[in-house]
Amino acid sequence: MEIKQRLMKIVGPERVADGAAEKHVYSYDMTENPSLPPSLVVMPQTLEEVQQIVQAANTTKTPLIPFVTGQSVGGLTIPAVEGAVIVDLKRMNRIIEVDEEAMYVLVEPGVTFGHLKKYLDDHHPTLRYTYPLAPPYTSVLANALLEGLCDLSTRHGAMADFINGLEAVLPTGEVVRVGTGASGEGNWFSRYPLPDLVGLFAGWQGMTGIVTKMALQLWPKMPFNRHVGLLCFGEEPTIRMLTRIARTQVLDDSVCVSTPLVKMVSGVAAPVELYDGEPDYGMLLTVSGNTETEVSEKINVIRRIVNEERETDSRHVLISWEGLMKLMGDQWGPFVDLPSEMYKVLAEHDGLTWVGTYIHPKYWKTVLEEGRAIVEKYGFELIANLKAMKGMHFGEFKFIFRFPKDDDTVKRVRECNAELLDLALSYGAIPYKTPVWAAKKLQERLDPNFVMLMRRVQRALDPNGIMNPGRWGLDERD
Amino acid sequence: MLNEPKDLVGNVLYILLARQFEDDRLLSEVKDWRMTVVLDTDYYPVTLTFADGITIERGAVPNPTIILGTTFDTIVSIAAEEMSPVRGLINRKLRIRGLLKHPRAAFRFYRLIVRAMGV
Repeated sequence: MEIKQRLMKIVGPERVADGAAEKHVYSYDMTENPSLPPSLVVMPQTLEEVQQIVQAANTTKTPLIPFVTGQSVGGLTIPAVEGAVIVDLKRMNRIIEVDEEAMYVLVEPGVTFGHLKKYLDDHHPTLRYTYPLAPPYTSVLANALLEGLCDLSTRHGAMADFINGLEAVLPTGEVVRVGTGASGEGNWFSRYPLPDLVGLFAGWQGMTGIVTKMALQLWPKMPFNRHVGLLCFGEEPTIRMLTRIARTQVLDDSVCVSTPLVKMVSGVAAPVELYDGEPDYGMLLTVSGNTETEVSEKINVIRRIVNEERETDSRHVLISWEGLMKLMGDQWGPFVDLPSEMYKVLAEHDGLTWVGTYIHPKYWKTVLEEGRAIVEKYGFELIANLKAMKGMHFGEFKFIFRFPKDDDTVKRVRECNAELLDLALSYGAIPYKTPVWAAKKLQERLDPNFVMLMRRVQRALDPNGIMNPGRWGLDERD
Repeated sequence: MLNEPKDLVGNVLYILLARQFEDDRLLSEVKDWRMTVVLDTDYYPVTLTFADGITIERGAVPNPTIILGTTFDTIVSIAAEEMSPVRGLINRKLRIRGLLKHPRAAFRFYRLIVRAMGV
């Protein structure tokens, strides 16, 4: 029996599609990565259906690509091989459990950030999750698996650090649970002190199985919050201020963007340039506390650092959030609740891409300076985005490109992204949500034994090589 | 009535003034004004040309009617109501040139910008 008939038998004919339109929709994303249509799309709704799909694919040696909304900005759900089946998980969209005492939520892959935020606000108003610079219709589970960043990353780190455990269908069809949830229902309180097998799935881009449930840490929603803006000049003072402020541990989160992005959010029409005399960067700094006094003292800690820096350059300016909205527009208001608001301006064209990396703090400033020169050389809008991560244990940076997808521009974007990645890799930065072309460059710099270990783990879990083959550049079999 | 400038300070002025021009009476009043004002900040200067509306441009034109010297930090302090415009003038955080020669223009602009800042 052909794979299509097998899948139709599992989920019903109405949830299997191989029309030209469906295949086209799943063949590309907003990035510059080359498109390739899948052979068909299947939409399971239950764990049992996912399990049967994987078992069927093993029989026919059919490549499977887990998919929710395809918004990874890494081309991670574009088929890398011919004949792939997209397993679209968006119908699995239950919020299964919120544990108020242990502060976690158990979700299926189709649960989105918008969905989760509304659910928590309505039913568990004392708890919050964390939200990324991504559309509100993107998957909570996928984002955590891909180790991206969020609006609590300055305090808690990458999104994968929020994972308490998960349930997955292995590439060979068995259902496994990792983390304390492996000991029974209603017990997803931690991923320790067991061997940390979350690492068999997080960061693997769907090569080691299909994750069907995930327990994620929630946090108390603090009664008092405040946001401030900071306009600053020059890469060195900007990074120095951000680093100094983050190391005080007063921040919930920090977002530092180049001024063109500040102006875009304020309503300036494309193309947006940086003019002489304008501050180079703008930061959004978020603090919270149990009392107004605690919050005010945290702001005073920030103000003291900024005032010290102002002795060298008085143009650095700290702005209250109310003042910022008055001067730069009310559209800044929703951004602090849901960073997705900033995403709107990035969707100016049909193309959007970036190479996001995590980097040692000592190289942050240099890479920012040299990266800026590369972007300016290619003539793109300067949209830099930085975040202090996990109390300043490391930094994140990326240059974002919004672009029309004509052939010439796509070619320039590819060249510029490649040059930026080479620069980042030369300073030991590690890309996240890594597209295949970037993974191959990364592999050249990684210890060969690390790559060998990755390959060995992947082959042990997926002997038939059916799970998202081609990702991470690990597809070449000996 | 108002152009949308692409620089930061000009855009701030645009946002402040655009809110005010939802008031038709103010709009028709300002349309009759004829003057040029340079807002000379520590970031860079911006020129507001009043002539059947307002044109906001990065840079300073020669021989403006009024020059208002200040820092962006002062603009922020006034917007955040941490400093009143009067206090700014007394402390010379706001400096008006052309006041004696063009008191009416200076007063008009002062009144407009104070209203736009909501203070």
